[in-house]
Amino acid sequence: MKILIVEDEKLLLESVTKYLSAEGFLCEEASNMQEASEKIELYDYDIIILDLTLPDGNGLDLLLQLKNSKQDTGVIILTAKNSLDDKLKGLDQGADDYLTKPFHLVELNSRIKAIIRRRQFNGKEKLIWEGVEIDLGSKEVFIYGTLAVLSKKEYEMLLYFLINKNRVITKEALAEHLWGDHYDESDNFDFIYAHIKNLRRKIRKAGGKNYIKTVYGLGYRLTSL
Amino acid sequence: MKLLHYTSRIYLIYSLAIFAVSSVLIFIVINRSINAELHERLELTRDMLIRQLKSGKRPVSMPPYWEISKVDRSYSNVATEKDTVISLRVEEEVEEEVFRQKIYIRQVDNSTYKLVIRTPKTGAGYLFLSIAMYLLLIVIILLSFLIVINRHISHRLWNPFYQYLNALASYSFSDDVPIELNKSKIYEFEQLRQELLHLTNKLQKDYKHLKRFTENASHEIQTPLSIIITRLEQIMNLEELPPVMAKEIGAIFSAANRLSKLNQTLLLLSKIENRQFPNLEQVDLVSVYKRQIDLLRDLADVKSLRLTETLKSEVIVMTNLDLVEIFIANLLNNAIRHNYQGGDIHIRLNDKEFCVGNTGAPSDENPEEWFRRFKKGNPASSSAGLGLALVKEIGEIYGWRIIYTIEDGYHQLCTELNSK
Repeated sequence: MKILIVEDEKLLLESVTKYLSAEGFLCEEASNMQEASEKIELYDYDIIILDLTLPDGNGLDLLLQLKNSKQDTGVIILTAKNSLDDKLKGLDQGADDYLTKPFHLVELNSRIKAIIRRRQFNGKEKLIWEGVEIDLGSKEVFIYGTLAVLSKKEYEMLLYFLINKNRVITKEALAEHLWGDHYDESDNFDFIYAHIKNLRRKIRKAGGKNYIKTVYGLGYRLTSL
Repeated sequence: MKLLHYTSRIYLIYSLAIFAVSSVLIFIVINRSINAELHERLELTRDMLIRQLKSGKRPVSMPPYWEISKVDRSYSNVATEKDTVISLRVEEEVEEEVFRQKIYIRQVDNSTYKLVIRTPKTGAGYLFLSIAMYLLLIVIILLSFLIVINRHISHRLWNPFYQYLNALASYSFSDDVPIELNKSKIYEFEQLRQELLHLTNKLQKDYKHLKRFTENASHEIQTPLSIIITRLEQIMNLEELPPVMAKEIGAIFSAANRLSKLNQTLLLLSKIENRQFPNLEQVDLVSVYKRQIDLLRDLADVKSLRLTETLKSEVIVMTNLDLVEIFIANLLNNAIRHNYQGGDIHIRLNDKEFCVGNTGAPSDENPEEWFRRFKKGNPASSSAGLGLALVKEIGEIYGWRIIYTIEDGYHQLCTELNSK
């Protein structure tokens, strides 16, 4: 999987590249329009992560170039503007998704993988890890072959954990992913804990282990250890 | 007090004062001349009587006009003029008349005579009365004339002033329209107009700068925040991260996330103020509500809140989807946040109104305060206190009136919708 990251802020570019490389992606960097444009012309990418505000132009123009080159590339727009206009324009011109800065790397990772799933498997893939099998088509979860009946939230939570396995998932990232932007944040994450507890119980009941570990002071992590 | 009333009142006070002073003056002057006249008449009579005495005639007393009597040589009397009331019999009726009376002691041919001379004062009283009446009449005519003129002048002269006043009252510097003031021929008003134009221009410009500043500042904060958050995420995933450090990193990460949310909310507020959400569409509030309560139900469950809903099947409103989502989510958040364990939430949504009621601690604070920015119910809370401020701003855009009521620890926020 080849990813092109277009971002003018060096420090941010570095973080994203490092994180996604660790996820097994082949990452290339571009810090301005011209560089990005050249790379798009020369190589094929599976995913492009595109910051819209670049020093030498608007990232939206790159979308046009991509469209004309007829490459089948997934695009995630990054924007600091949080402006509806940019979102709509971006999605209109063929972007697959958008993220508003500041974003969580965990979230970016799952968005990328969601796009890949959509493009390669038409969303009908099966995710298998340890004894856990998630059927993305039927939205069913099997633990060592036993069906675990999960609520919608629990299913989404487990999927998120699986996509970001071995990574620390903070309560903040989890809350934002599952409950959206509008919950009245931060001082109370009891509602997350209640769901985690239920999910752990259901996994154990279906014959699984306690895969979801609490990382003290930070959040949770899905690990087989 | 209106300008017109004020000037009229001043005119009235001055006119009455002038009337009083001039009445007194006129009274004094006329009184003097009447006294002089009476005095002259008394002296004429006296001279006539003395002439008669000197000629040897013995004039007859004619009361009440004059009385002559012989007195002792030693008789003395101070010659004073005084008013006296004398009863007269006029055809069976007794009338009282005021007379001016003076007593003279005169020696004629070695005999001393006492002359009591009187002259009627009848006309003088009427004179005063009629003078006062006429004076009052003149003052009244003058005053009404003044008031009419004043009214006329106020309407014409002050016309530009009132025009400016109206223009200012309907002027809002957050709208991007410059104020419109008609030119005036009068120097002072023209000066006022220039100053007003200058002032409103400056206000508008400053306001624009301020708005842009907030927006730009928020934008610029996003990038460094992104760096902080992503770097922290990387540290978190280091295998060799000691647990003590993890806790510290977690605290920093939480704070950075709060800052990020706060910043996004501020950006949103400034966008709402700048009216950057122009795209209106037909939105079904019921489905928006259902989506939001679906997300927030978990938060309500933690507090074991009981939710009761009275919903119409569809409430269509012309609005912006993103804003109305934020609007509803914030109202629901508010009802959950300020509730107690095992409390209630009641939702009513129909064409007329969207009401969110919740149980909660009674508060003696002014509800207006809650809609202010950075106003927290609980000062120790990590919430920035922007939720209801957002609700208010969004409500203002669409002209939705938000009414707050509290009764026996039951709070209710009702939004009057002007739905179709």
